[in-house]
Amino acid sequence: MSSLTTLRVVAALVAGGILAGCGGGVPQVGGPGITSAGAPAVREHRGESWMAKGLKNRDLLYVSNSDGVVNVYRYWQHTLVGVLTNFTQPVGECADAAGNVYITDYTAEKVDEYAHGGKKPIKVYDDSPYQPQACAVSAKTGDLAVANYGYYQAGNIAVYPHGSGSPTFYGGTRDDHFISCAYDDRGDLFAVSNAGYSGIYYSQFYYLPKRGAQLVPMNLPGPSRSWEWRGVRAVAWDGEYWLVDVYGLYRFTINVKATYVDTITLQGDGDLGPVWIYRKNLKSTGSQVVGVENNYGQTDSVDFWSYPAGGSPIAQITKDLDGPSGLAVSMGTPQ
Amino acid sequence: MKRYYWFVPILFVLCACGGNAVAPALGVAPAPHPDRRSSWISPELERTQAPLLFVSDAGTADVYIYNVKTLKVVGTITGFAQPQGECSDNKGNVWVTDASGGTVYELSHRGHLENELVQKGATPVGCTWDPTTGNLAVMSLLGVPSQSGGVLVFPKGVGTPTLYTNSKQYFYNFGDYDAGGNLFFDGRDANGNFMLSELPKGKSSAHTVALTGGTIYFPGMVQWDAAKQDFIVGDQSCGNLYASCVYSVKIAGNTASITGETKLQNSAGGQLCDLVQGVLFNKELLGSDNDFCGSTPSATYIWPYPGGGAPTRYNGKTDSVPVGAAISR
Amino acid sequence: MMTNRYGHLFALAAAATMLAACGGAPMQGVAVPQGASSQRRVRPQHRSWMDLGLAKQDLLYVSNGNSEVTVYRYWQHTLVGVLTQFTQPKGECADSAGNVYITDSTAQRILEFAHGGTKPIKSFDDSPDSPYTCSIDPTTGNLAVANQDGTSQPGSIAIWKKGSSSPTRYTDSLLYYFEGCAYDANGNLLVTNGSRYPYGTYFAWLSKAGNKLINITVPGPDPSRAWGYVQGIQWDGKYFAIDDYYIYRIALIHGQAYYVGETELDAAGSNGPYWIYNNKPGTQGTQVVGGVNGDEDSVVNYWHYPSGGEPIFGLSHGIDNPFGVTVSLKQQK
Repeated sequence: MSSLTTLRVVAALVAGGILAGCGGGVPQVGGPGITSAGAPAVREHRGESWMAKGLKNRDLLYVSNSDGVVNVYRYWQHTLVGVLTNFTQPVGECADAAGNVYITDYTAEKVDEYAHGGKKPIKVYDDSPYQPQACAVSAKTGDLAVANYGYYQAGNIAVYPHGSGSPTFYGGTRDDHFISCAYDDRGDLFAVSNAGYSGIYYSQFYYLPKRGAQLVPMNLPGPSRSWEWRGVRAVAWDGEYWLVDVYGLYRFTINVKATYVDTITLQGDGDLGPVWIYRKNLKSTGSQVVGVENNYGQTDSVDFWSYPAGGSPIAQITKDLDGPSGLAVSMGTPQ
Repeated sequence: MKRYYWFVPILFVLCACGGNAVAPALGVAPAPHPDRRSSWISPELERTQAPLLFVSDAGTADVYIYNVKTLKVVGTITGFAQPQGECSDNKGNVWVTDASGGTVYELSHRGHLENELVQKGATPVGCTWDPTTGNLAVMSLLGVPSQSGGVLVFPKGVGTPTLYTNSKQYFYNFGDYDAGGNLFFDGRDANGNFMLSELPKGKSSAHTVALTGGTIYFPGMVQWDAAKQDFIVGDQSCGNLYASCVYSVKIAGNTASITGETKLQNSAGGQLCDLVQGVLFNKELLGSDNDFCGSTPSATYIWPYPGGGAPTRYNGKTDSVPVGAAISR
Repeated sequence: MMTNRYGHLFALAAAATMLAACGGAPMQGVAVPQGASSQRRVRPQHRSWMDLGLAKQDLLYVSNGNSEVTVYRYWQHTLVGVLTQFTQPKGECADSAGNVYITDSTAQRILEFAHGGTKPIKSFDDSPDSPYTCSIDPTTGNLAVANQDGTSQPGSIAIWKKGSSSPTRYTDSLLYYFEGCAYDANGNLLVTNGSRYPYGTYFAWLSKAGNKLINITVPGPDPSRAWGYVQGIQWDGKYFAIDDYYIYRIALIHGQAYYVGETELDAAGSNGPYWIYNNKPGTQGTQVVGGVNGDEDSVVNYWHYPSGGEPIFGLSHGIDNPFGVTVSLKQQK
């Protein structure tokens, strides 16, 4: 191994060891890409990126793995049609209306943008000194919002205005480590962080209305009176409602305050991680939801469910996955 | 079926107290405690280009959106803490001050939340938009804890505000810009006496404007009347009673002269109990009577202006503790 | 001298404490004693007494769980009298002339005493309601009483116009019963139900010109904080002071309530309303006193106001499960 690679592996082992230690050996919920107790987050990846041809009109599913690669599947056929390897630790993903895919590289402190079906990044966003965990692109403005976990310090939401590399940073009001964010169709942003650590992280929600200059902390009512939000994995937008993803999907409207709508059960083996809502176009609401299922030590999978029905998965991918941590769908026809 | 009749009023009461009803309950004034329902935006509100009247209600913590022509409710925005005075720009946006939240919410013509301006320690109760600069001036009644209020000016209605005060003023209520971009606002001193102040354009502090030609006992609305080139100033304690009226006030130098009074009647032909904020639009004065005097239900009214007198139309079915009024075009 | 009075009444005091606890905090399913005759405890056999020459002394009156109202020189803390005409004395209030009004929840009446007097100068019949606290309107001398009848019947605010013997009663379906009331300097009345499980704490107000209670939202230090267990409301000279363990100041301006600030009180009690000492009308009070029931002892604590913090004095002799307190200021004549 080259000395640089050794350094990477050692750093990852250390990172993995420390993080696993924090969680007491149990995988830290919401933590960056840690999927099995004590296992290193990054393994030496082999080979160059590859991608099949003729994917222009195909809906593509991108899945990031703990072994440092991003798998690309045909969304409907579930066949593996490409692997992107030029990462240190890819964690979260998002896609924009044009089909470009953005992949957060946590340890490398950057976000790579790939064209639909592309093999090489078309743009790199320097996110240092922060550790990007997830992202979202505004359909309204094209702005890229990055949820920075902040391993060495508090995290934030970094918003890169459309086409620009200079972000505006939005901090939370607690010791926040942001794990996910989402835009609605109007350009409002919804985000969630791990906050206030004292043995366990509580999930704290924030809202940035489209003209807002600061993240506003939001109290979300739960489905029951004494509900506490813990271990939230992601937030999303389905075309009509905001979703909170924590072992299932909880739907909300937000206009001044948040109102709970309903709960969608997603059955599966393992722990539900981040999800992606499949929306045919901006005029429709979600018709399917696809999500990462971490089955520590057993078979990890990416499951597909009908939306908003939920219930049992209608399809599943298990091949070629290794501790999947994030996913996004890049539509074949531009929005 | 007869034996089930007793059921109905109980169900109605339970639903009114925060069930999942979507449209506003008809015929019964809502119980004055915070509305737990989600916002309701009617199909008409989603489409309309017609002028709308936004009325904030501190009892239900809602903002009711009325069609100006029909005075029917076309939307209810819920989720505020203590909504107070309001203002609007010329693009249909309405700002709603929220006193206990220390926040000013910006709503679009369709009732969607566009922005939140949060200022800890402030008690925002009034605001006004400056068409010459696009700035938003927010009147903070008091400072928390135990301090006088002030005027927070948000450049272009976003971001970090600058604080302006009149050192002699304690409570800050309502204000508006004149045609030259000078801000006039009312309030009271520490002893509770009515005050009128001016923050001239470009200056860093405000000064007192002496009021002559009459007495205003409790600060009400302040609005620039472009047609008459003077201000409409409201008195929430007209004649030192629990009654409301509005005055025409002409500014000359550092003096404000009361040149006329408009008396306003409620639905029973009596005096209004408390018009907190009215708004002049199209030769009419629109606003709500917060009737804690107990003579009529609280209601939203439209009166001819400057004639006043009996209302041309009103809606007494919705309001609980109505406070602010603004027009969204 | 103290042990003579109290030693042989220990058993009665214990019984009185239990009954006071039942009648104080509203509990579901527990009936509050309604008729004066039904649950009257055996009265102590001693008579009311009071030192002479107290006209120029500020006096502190304390309602105790053992049914006695003990009276002290406010500044010197010495016991100067005991009033025994009560079955279950609760909240108290005073007017600008130094008259003291003491509610008797079980006897369903309010007794008025002159400053330093031992015999009531007036009795206000509050039946069928059980009075909890009271306040005097400084602009008229009217007496407002908050009535708490438990869950068996709705309570009310009863207001006696000065000089009259029958009150006007006001009810409110949201609050249901009333545990706190106070007038401001302008004659507006703010009232509360204290707390009503499981519905919550609510407030209402009666404007000087109004003819009905109007519900009002009273904000706390921040919108997400709900009122816990409000024990009372006072007027502190400038603002309404809400007793919710700490004191939270509220400006009630034209029917809108605004949060102004808070006073943290260490070693505070959660039993009964405080009283704010204020001998300069038009300015803000300078001390606050309130009863504290500890596991081992009862005390009436004094604090600086509005700064609060640690108590500056704890008065304990003669104090037995204190509930309401009031201060009758020395007379200027």
